[in-house]
Amino acid sequence: MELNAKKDVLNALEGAYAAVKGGQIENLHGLSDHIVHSMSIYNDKEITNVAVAIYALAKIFETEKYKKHKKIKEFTKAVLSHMDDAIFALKRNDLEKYSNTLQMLFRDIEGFSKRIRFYIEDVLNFSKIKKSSKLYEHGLSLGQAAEATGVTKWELMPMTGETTTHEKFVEPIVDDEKKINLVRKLFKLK
Amino acid sequence: MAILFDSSTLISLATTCGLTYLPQLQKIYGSDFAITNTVKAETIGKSMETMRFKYEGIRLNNLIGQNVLKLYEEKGHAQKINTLMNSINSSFFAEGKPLKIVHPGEISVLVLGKVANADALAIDERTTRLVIENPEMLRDMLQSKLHTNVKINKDNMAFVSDFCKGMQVIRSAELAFAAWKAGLLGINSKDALEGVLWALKFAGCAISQDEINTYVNKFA
Repeated sequence: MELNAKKDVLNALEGAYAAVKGGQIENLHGLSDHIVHSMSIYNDKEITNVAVAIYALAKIFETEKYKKHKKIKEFTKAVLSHMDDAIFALKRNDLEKYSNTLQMLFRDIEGFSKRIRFYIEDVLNFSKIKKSSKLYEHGLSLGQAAEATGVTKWELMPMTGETTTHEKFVEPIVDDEKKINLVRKLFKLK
Repeated sequence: MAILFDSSTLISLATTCGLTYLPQLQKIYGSDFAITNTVKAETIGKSMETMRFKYEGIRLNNLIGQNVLKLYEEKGHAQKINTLMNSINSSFFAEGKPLKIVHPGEISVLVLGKVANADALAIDERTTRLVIENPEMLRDMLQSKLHTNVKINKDNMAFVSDFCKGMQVIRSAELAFAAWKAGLLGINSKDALEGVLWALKFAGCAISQDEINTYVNKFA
């Protein structure tokens, strides 16, 4: 992992650890968004996985009725343990251990969201689509953004359509009038 | 002559009932509506893996069966696709790193479009369209979003711009406009045009609210 990317990921993981431990769940979204920058530049699955995991945790912990779920303490403990292990592994440049720890974190998120029947059927996949949408917003093509998290363009497109992404930087150099004239010519319209 | 379709345009059309007017549009056009193998895999192949989009995939596959969509083989063009993709993915640099912004599926449309001397490329997603139409704006966007200086490798960009010279891009929005103008939507009111353009926008077509207003109020 690149040095700058590693710094970003460590900051995000340490921030997320503190947020979960201190109950400042509102910080998780910002931390997840912050590393989209590194995701876009370094195109590294390990960075993407952190962003997805933190976003999924935000979705779970911010849902009011799950705060009182009988398994939430056990889940939180496991999450904190995995994050601590991931931070430790990354600091020691043990990328294999870091990667395995993130997979364990994913499994716990998946398991807990199934147990609580989260309102989004698959919170992890939903988080992947959200992060892909952010990558697209940051300038990656639809195909590249979809591949980064392993979702399909079918899943990604409606998510991008619901954002304001296409309100900026969409006007083509070929103006609308020329485009319409091309369409008129192609389809023999008056 | 042909119009080459990217998966983004097919997906927008498929999720907004646009496949119903595609056969008639193709008849009016009179030449090929075409897709590449990678686009087929991204649309029909991927949709078959999930029940959520299976029906759309079957309908797209049916359009191939009816010859409304023709399959243009990528075989023999792999090197060109790789060269162009690598050039685009080595054109923009942030923090000293090349930004890998495009994917083989999108580039296959550009390369096969060039080979077929296509009249137009139908691309709904924003990044590939900006590579063709306005790479400077793409650089500005990357800079603005990544909050860092983005440099352009002029040699690579010159190769890409030369390759894309003369290419014309349309979106599902323009296809819907044509369908509306040709009376293929079944409802000829401006409201119907506005409705279909917004549906496409929500389906992921890169069109702004201002552009929709221009289409409805100026061109309709």
